[in-house]
Amino acid sequence: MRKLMNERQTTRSSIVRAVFTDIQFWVPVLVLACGILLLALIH
Amino acid sequence: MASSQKTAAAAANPQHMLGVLCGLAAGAWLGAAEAPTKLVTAGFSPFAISLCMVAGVFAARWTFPTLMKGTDFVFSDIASKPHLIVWALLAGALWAVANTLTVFAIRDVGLATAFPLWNTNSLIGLLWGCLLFREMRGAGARTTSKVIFGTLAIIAAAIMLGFSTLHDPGASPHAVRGLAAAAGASLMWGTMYVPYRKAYLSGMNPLSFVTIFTFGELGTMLALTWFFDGGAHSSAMQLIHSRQVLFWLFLGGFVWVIGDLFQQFATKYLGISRGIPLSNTNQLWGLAWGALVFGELAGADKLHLGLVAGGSLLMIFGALAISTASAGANEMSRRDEALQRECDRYGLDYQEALKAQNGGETKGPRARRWWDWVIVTAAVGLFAWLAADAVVPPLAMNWGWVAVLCAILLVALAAGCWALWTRTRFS
Repeated sequence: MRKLMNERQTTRSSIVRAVFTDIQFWVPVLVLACGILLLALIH
Repeated sequence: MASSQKTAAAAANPQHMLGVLCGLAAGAWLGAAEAPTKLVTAGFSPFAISLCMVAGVFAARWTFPTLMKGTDFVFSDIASKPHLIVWALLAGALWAVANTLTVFAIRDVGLATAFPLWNTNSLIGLLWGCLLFREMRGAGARTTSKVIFGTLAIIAAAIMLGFSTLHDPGASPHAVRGLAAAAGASLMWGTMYVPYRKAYLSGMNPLSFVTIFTFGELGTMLALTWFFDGGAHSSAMQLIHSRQVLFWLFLGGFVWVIGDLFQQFATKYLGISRGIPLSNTNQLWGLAWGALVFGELAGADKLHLGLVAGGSLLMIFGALAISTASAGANEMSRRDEALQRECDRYGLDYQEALKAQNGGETKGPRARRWWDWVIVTAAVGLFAWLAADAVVPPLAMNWGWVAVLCAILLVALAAGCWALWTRTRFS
């Protein structure tokens, strides 16, 4: 049971690492941040 | 010679024409999505309008799209590619922010200026497609020039159609703010296709992606309304209790979700650079609803009518140019390199992802469960409940044209669904 939980934890953290180290991920994130900022300025 | 080249290109991307059909159907449905919202004439805030429309999108997702692929398939598909959950949420958030920005843009500079400006999202998409997914590389001069000509023609047509609806060009005191909002929406909507493309390179089904996408949309709109529109005092609260107008926003969301599903399939089978311009033909349909049903061009002079005719023709030529620019073997091999990158990074099976990308089913057919029928009944029941109290405001509408345009929508829906079912089983 503990082994299975450890495996799941490892899989989850490797997915998180793969997403956050993917340069393509940060393009939409930065654009979204700019959009929210623009909305905050004009509303 | 020319015919053998055409055959080779068609073989390189066997789903090219399916993608084109989906892109054109997306244009027709996305263009019609604005029509029901025209019936909401009371002064609610942009956040309230956007939130209720997104709530309609969310509810509509669980109506007939649930029958295309049951929840069993959808959740198993999501579980096999869990890294895409965050991408789909991100895409939903981008859509929600962009949609709210467009409401501000229309308010400050009018639809005529705002619509063409945010339609330049196809150029943003083209840029991201080339930079991030190696699209158009190895395409050859002829195909590349067709795509670029088609994109520019659709943008030019959007400008012409936009100015054809311009009646009162008086300067707005908030013009800069409106232009900034429209430009922001263009950037957001062009970038929103990055997660779309990412999902389809990984072999995710569009219905699975849209499911998570709607959660991202609704969550973002709730947060934006709460923080920027007075929280519990927002006019959204008032709108929620106005069932007589709420139905029209929900109906707009329903029409939009059908258009978006076709748009997702177009992106899957054509890529960003061809998919966005084809979906952007929605402006032609938006204008058709405005002019034919609501009589918006009734008092137009010859110049405005000339802009409508010229813009419509140019848009059709642009769509034709892109439709015939099928990807050849070289370009497809670059797509496969991008696909390999996704598989290496996220530990996916290359052959399975490739099969899914070409429209093959990677998971066996799954039976619909009893709860699928309960979900569909509840979602349809919600629409019926809202419709029971809906009131058509006293607007002059041409019901004959409503019938004609609805018939066109149904034909586009039937043709799109039939082609997707026979060729890919909605994969």
